[in-house]
Parts: sequence; C-alpha cells; structure tokens
Amino acid sequence: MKQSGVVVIGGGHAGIEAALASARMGVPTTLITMDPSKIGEMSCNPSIGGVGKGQLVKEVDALGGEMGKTADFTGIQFKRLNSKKGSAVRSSRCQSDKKLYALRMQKVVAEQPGLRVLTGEVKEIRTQGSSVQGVSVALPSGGLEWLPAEAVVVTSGTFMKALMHCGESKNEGGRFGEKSALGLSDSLKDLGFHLLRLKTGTPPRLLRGSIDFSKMERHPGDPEPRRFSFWDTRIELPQVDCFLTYSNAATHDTIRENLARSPLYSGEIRGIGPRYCPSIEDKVVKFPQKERHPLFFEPEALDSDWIYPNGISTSLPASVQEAFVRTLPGCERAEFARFGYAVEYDCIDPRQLSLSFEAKHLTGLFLAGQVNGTSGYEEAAVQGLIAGINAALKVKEAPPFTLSRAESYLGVLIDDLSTHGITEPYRMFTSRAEFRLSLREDNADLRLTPYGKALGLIGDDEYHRFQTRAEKIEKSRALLDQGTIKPSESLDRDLAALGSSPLEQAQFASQLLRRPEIGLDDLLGWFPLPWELDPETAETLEVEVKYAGYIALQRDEIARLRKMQGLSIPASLDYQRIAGLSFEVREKLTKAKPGTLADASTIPGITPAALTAVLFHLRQNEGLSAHRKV
Amino acid sequence: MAVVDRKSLSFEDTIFALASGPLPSAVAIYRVSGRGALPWASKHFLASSGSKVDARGMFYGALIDAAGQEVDQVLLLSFLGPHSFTGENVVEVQCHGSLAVAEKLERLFLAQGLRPAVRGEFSYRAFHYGKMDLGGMAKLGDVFAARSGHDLERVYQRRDAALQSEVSKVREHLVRLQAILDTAVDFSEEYASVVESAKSPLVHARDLCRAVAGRYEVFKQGGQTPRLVLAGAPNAGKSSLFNALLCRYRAIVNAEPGTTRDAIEEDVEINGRRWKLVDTAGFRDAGSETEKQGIDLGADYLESASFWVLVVDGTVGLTDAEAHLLKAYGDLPHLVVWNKRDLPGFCSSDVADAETSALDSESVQELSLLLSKRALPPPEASRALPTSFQAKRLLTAATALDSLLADLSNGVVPEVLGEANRMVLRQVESVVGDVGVEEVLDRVFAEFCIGK
Repeated sequence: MKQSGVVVIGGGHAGIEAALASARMGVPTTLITMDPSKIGEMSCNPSIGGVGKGQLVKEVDALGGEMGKTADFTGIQFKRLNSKKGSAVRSSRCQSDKKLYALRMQKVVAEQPGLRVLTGEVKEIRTQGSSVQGVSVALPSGGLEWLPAEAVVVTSGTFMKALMHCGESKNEGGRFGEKSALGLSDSLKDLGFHLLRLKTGTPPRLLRGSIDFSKMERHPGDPEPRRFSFWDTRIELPQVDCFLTYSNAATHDTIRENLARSPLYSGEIRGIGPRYCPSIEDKVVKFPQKERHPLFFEPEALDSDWIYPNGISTSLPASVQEAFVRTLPGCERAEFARFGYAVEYDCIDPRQLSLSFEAKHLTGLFLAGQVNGTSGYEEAAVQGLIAGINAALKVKEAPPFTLSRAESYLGVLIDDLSTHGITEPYRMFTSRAEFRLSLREDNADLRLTPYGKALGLIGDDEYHRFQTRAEKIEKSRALLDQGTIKPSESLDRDLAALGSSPLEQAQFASQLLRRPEIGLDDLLGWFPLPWELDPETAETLEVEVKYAGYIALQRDEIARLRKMQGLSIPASLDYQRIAGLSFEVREKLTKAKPGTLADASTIPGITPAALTAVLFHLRQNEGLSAHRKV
Repeated sequence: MAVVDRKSLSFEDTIFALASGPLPSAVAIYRVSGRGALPWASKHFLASSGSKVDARGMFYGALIDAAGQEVDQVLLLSFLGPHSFTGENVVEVQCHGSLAVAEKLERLFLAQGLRPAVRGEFSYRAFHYGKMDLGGMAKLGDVFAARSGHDLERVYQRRDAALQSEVSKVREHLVRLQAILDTAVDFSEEYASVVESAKSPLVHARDLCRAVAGRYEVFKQGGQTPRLVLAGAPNAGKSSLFNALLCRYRAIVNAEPGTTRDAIEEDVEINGRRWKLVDTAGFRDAGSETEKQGIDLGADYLESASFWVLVVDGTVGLTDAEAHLLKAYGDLPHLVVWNKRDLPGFCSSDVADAETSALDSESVQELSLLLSKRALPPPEASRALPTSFQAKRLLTAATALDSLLADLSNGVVPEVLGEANRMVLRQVESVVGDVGVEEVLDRVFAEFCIGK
C-alpha cells in the first residue's frame, strides 16, 4: 500500500460514506470540510428513504454504510410505502430528527479510527500527467496546507458556483447562511471536466406554534415501525405525526398573479430543475387543471419549532411566500422561520466517470454526490460509498469494485450516470430498474453483504448474523416448495373467508401462496414452519415464493444480457460498411465504440433494428470466414 | 411441424434433396450441397464431352453407379461456392422423373456418405454463410405461401415503414401503460388510484397487436378467399363462362337447361386476385328434387358472395327469375352480363355491363378486366403485411396482454403488472428490430419451413 491515503472533499451524505468506507478499509483518510458543524446536515427535507430511495439506503446498509443506522437511531416517524398485501416493491421512509441525525454522523466520523477531519476550503486539486497528487487547502487561520493523496474524492454538493435566488434577490452561497465553493468549480474545469448548470429549491420553514394542525389531516407513522438497518440498531426516539393539507384556488391565484417575480419565470434562473420535485410555481403553471396539490407538514426535529412544508418549494419573493402560505388551511396565521429559495449550481457531466466513479481521464480522482448531477441524500450516500471504496482500493492498488444493473439499484444508478449522463437532477425511481422484483429492500443483504464482507466493511458478527438469516430463508423455502397441504373443510372455510376458492386436491404450500389473495401469514396458519420468522425474513420468503415465476424470468433476462455482454465487437469494426444503419446510428456507434453488443444496446438512439444489423454483420463475417475453411 | 434442433445439424455434412415436385414426373431435380458435392459428381457422372466437373457450368452425360453401369442420361449443373445458393459447392442433377431412377440416384448419394437434408436446411446454410439475411428468409417463405399475384406483390413490396408506424402505435399504448403502472408504484402516496386508467391503453395495444398479426394469418391461409358467384337463368351459359374464366374444362356443359344441378366452386386468379369462383344452378322453379337442392345451394352462395355476376342469355333477355334475383341481391356488388354474343338473335341491352361469349376469349378477357375494376380488394389487403416472425411476436404480445388484463381486474399489484408489461414491450419492440442472438437462429429454423 502507498503512503498518503485518501482525501475526501466535503462532509455531506456522500462525503461521510466515502470517508468512513475508506477509513474502515484501513486506508488513512482525511475529510476536508468548510464547517465541521455541518457534517451530516439534512439541508432540505427531514426524511430518509421513500420509493426507490429506501432501496438505496438498504443497499448502503448491506454493504456496511452508515446512512441506515443513523436513520434508525434518529427516526421519529417510520412508514413503509407500497406495503399492501402482495406488494413486491415495498419501500421504507422515515422522518428524522435533523439535529440528532447530524450529531450522530459527526460522532461516528469523529470516533472512526484512521479518519481525520480538517477544516478548510480546497483551493486546488493538483495533478501530474494524468494522475492526482493531492490538494491544497486554505485553512481558517489563513495559511495554505498541502495534502498529498493517492486518491481524492470530490463531494462538493451544490456548492460549486452556487447562487441562491429568493424573489429578485440573489446571493452567492450553497445553502442558507453558508459559503459557496467558488474555486473548486474552476479547478475541475481546468482539469478537463465539462460543467452543467442545474437548479434545485427548498420550501420555506414555518414555526410550529403558528400552525393550526386541527385543520389538517393527521398522518401518523406505521404502528409497528420497521428499521432500515440489517444490523444492530434500535428505534429509540419518540414517534410523532405529520400532517396533510391541500393548496386551493386562492393559493394558486396568488402564485399566478406573482409569477413574473419568480426568478424561474422571469428568466433569472437558467439551470435545469427536476421534474419530479417541481416548485409550487411549476405545479400551478404546468398542471392548471389540478384544483389542489397535497402538502405534507413534517417536523424537523423533536426539540425544534421548525416545520418543513413538503410540496411548496419556491423561489418567489418573501412577501408572496407569506401571502400564498396563509391561504392554506391551518396556515392562516403561519409565521416564517426562513423563506424558501432556489439554488443554481454547477455539476460535472457524469459520463466522464467510469463505473467506479473515477474520472476516466484522471487516475485517482473520484467524484460523488450532487456534484455528479444527482439529487437526494440517498443518491449521494450510495455514490459516496462506492467512490470511497474505490478510492481505498486505488491506494491498495487493488482492482475497482463495481456493481451491475442486474444486482442492485446502486448498479442502476452508476450505469445510468456514467453511460447516459443526465438531463435534470437525477433521482432514483423503481422504474429505472429493469429487475425491480429481484432488487428489493428485503433482500439487499442477500445481494450485497458478501461483497461488503470481502471489502472489509462488514464485521464477523454481522456476517454470521447474515448467514444465519440466509440459511433460514433457504430452508423455509425448501419446506414450502416440498410440503403439501391437503384439502379439508376447515381450510376451505378459511379460504372462503379470504375470498379464495376451495382446494380441489393436495397442493404444494408454495403453490397456494401464489394465489394473490393469500399471504404468508395466512399460509403459516395451515402450514406452520418449525421455527419463528422475523418480519424481514417472512417478507423475503413471501415475495420470493409468490413471484418465483417472474423472478425466474428476470433471471433469464439477466442471463440474456450477460450473453450480449459476451458478444464483443472488434474495435476495428467499420460501421460505414454495415448495411441498413442510418447515418445517425453510424455516427453514434463510431463515436462510442461499444466493446460488446450489450454496451451498444445501452447507447441512446441505438434501435433494436440497428443492433440486429450489427449482429448480422458480425455473424456474416464469421460465416464467410467459416466458408473459406470449407 | 417438428422443430429440428439446429445444433444437431453439422455443416460438415454434404446434404441432398429432391427440389422438384412429386414423382413420377417428366424430370426430377436433385440438389446436393457441401464439400462432398463435387467428389460425388466426379465419381458418378460422365460428361459426354469428356470434360471434368470442376468448374461452374452445365453438363450433359451419363449417371453411373459404382460398377460403372449407366443409370440414366442426365443434365448436371455445378455452382461453385461462394457463388451458389447456399454459399457451398452445389451440384444439381436433372434426371428423368421415374421412381426407379430417383431411388437409384438416392442410393448413390447415400453410398457416398451424403445425407438427406432436413426441411429448410439449404436455406439455413445460405443464412449461415451470409448468402441470405433474415429478411430474405422471411421473404422466401412468404413467396412460397403466396397464392396470387397480388399476394406476391405484397410480399415483394413489403415496407417496414408502414408496419413500423403501426407497431409504434402499439408501443405508445404500452409505454403509456407502463408509465401508469410505474406512477402507481413510485408515487403511490399521491397516485395509487391511477391504476384504474390502465385498462384503456392495455386494450388498445392488445387489439392492435391482434389486428396486425391477423393479417399474416389471413395471408398465410389464403384467408377467406372472397366468393365470386355466377348466377342466372338455366342455360344462360354460366358454366361455359365459368370454364372460360378458369381456362380449363371443369363444369359439365350441356345445351339442355339445368345441367348444373350442384353449385361448383373453384379457386381462380383473375388479374392477380384470388377468388372462389362459384357456378350455381340456374334460378327458376326447379323441375326435379335434385335440381331444387342445387338451386337452394345457389341461393346460399349468393348470400355469402363478395361479388356476383348475373349471366343473362342475350338471345332471350332478362327472365322473371333473373329480375327477381337483381331485386333481391342488387345491393351486393355485381355485374350484369349479356352472354352468347356469338349467337344469332343476340340483342344488346342497356342493362348489360358487358357482352360476352364463352367462345370468344377476348370478351372473357374484357370481362375479367371489368371484374377487377368493379370488385375492389378488401381494405385489409392494402395494409402492411407482417412477416411470420413479426406476426408471431405480436400474437404472443396479445396473449400476454390478455392475461395482464385479467391480472389487472384481479387486483394484482402494479409492480407485478409492470413487470409483465415490460416483457410485452420488449416483445413488441423486437417486432421491428432486435431479436435475441440465439433466438434468431432457433426461430429461423423452426419457422421458415420453405422446402429444401
């Protein structure tokens, strides 16, 4: 191993995971932040997880990351989404106590052996030839410190050339009350990165005491909260409610009248915002037929007066924000703790990164998180984790660690970013994953924990626990597949009560479970297993048995994909010679030089017909060469 | 048809097959392909010119057995690879189409280690050696299936663009369906009820898949060949016209009224369109019981006619029975023909669309031209024709959509529906393009059963 180790720039959700992973893999690591008290800050909504995002948190956890653990210890409301009977894409979400979340992360970072926190601002990333040498840091004392490093992980979030908009006023800065990192953007540009300009926003914060919650719908958490982590965590904080209210005609009128004062519509903001998390201005303009929009009021922390009104992200001027918020039921006398704002920032084109998040053109330079054009804490955390792991592997002179689309949401995210790039801030959806029935929250450990163990991020005790669980699932599965249930009057009565038809003849237990109206709980009433199942294990078992057919089909599809990956395209292939390709397709293929047919299939605009033409061309050449031997 | 496992077939083998029709016949044509083709010819063929068969060409000479005995006088053609149909060396033997000669010849092939080809193997080799692509194979298969000039035209003028626009409509529906289902999963808190709107795109996509695929089925089976019915009074000359249109002698023609006691049906191609031409018994009060049945049958045929021709004896003029027919079936597309133009006593009429004589081939020709002008082809025939490959995929998609619809009404969760729909989408996308690597070859062999 080399000497100087890994430097991580930034202490947000990506930076934390990167620094912890690297240090836990035994590589000396330095985390540089402009303000250590902001490490682990939840700068926008006070929640972790959600549909698609919960899966990411579970995957981070299964690989030995920190986000799920901290979410469990600091969660004040837990909810599983899509959890009705038969669901295969259940997703976890929690409201976190923002203050405690950041405090716990700061504690974990501080206590991590081999990890040093340095306060300062990175002025330059220095390279020699095409490899990274280290960074120079401006210290609060005014001096400049030179930090040599074999690998540098940049997780600078929304801070590059950040510009905050609130109505007509503009301020430089990445977050409310925080500085913007001006130098870093230029440094990356000098290093050959293409920069894109994006936009995001945050809603105002309201004071709890000024809101009349009796005029809103109460939204409690699940009666039996489920943890994120597969490991040793507890939900120990008191659980609280959220509240739901709706916008109305008066809200929409107020916004419409003042649209010209929104920097989004006056042309001040040029960055591209996310479609899935639109500002309230966008919602009103783009969905004029919708009479109301749901707004969720979430507490920011147990001992905080701040309420986060989810759904009214805005950059309208303060006075307009006051006017439209006060049209909401329960908010007639709402007081503002802070006004909403939009922020424009630079990000890099993630197509310049390899699957390990290392820059393709600069050895040892890794980028992770919002700087790559993503949005969300969870998306940031997974990138941080993978970049941190690979930075450490780089120092250890070991081959990179990457994941495929077929085995994880992580792989989907990595592949989407590095192959397709972004057109708006990238957020995870389950629909991005081709194999979402196989990539579930409940089996994240089965898919990924062995990797975590091999990397040194999962301890022996944890791994033993994982193995016990995996065995139990396998044995239970075998019992359900081989054990039979015989028809009986009492069974038919039970079945009728569930709206299910009577049993005609003896059936394997697993077959009965495949009926949509029957759950594992019901089945175990007639076919008890010789051991107890914890809820997580029961969930894995239920989905695996119920959707075995689909899961098997997905496995076939994955195999097909692998086969395509096995069909290599010679680099010398002249696409001009292939008949039946359009000019555009030829250009794209010539430029991208895909190594395999599978790579070619992921290039946007490459039609299946074009792939076939390439395949035939290759086959024909094979055939002709075979003929010469005849 | 049994599906042959192509992996069990070796390209090392030299294969042979009878390329011409059933024996006995005037001439039988055998084709041989593979590395053993030329050595076989040099052993069993003696060109009368004395030249050796080692170049591309046509040779006349004797087929001889192992003992040097002459079996038959044959023509032998040799095509050297790669400029042959299969891309390999190919030898064609044209012998007399006697069963005895054929049997001896086949024994001579087998004795030299040649083996009979399985169905489609020649084409498969052509595909393997890059002589023909998948589109070419599909086309060849459909050329064999074509039943009329119009069918052939549809095959040769098949344009992907027309089909592509229909498939992209299906795709749009499916993508919309996928979007609805994914919304229900990814945004369940706000949009759980959106699933209800999934039915409409699903049904649209399914019906369109079926409609397009159905076109190939109709094409392949010759479909419901439309009926062209000849009707008229007894002895108006329907059977003579029928025979003239068929260009061969089929119906019994007799000067005595009421000769055709049954309706007679024959397939005929008139200017590129396929018809079932029906000759009916004459319409009048039936003289005998058999004839009555024939007449009833004729009426049944008229009920189901796509087009009918009223044949009137031009020397007699419109009878009451014929006037009655015109009244009853005048709404159906039809022509009125004044027949027996060649006879004295023939009088023209304003009612007639054409004047004919079965003995005058020019007048029959004019009648067939008029027929093709008046009888418009069904709209279906002018739409894009999918290949068997494409039709099969569309049908599979439609079937999958049927069960998806059932699952949807049974309340199956949207993520599982979405999974099924994703597979349908892939299926549909592959209609106008990509086909899985191995799948291509397996399908080629199983589907393109195009003779040898």
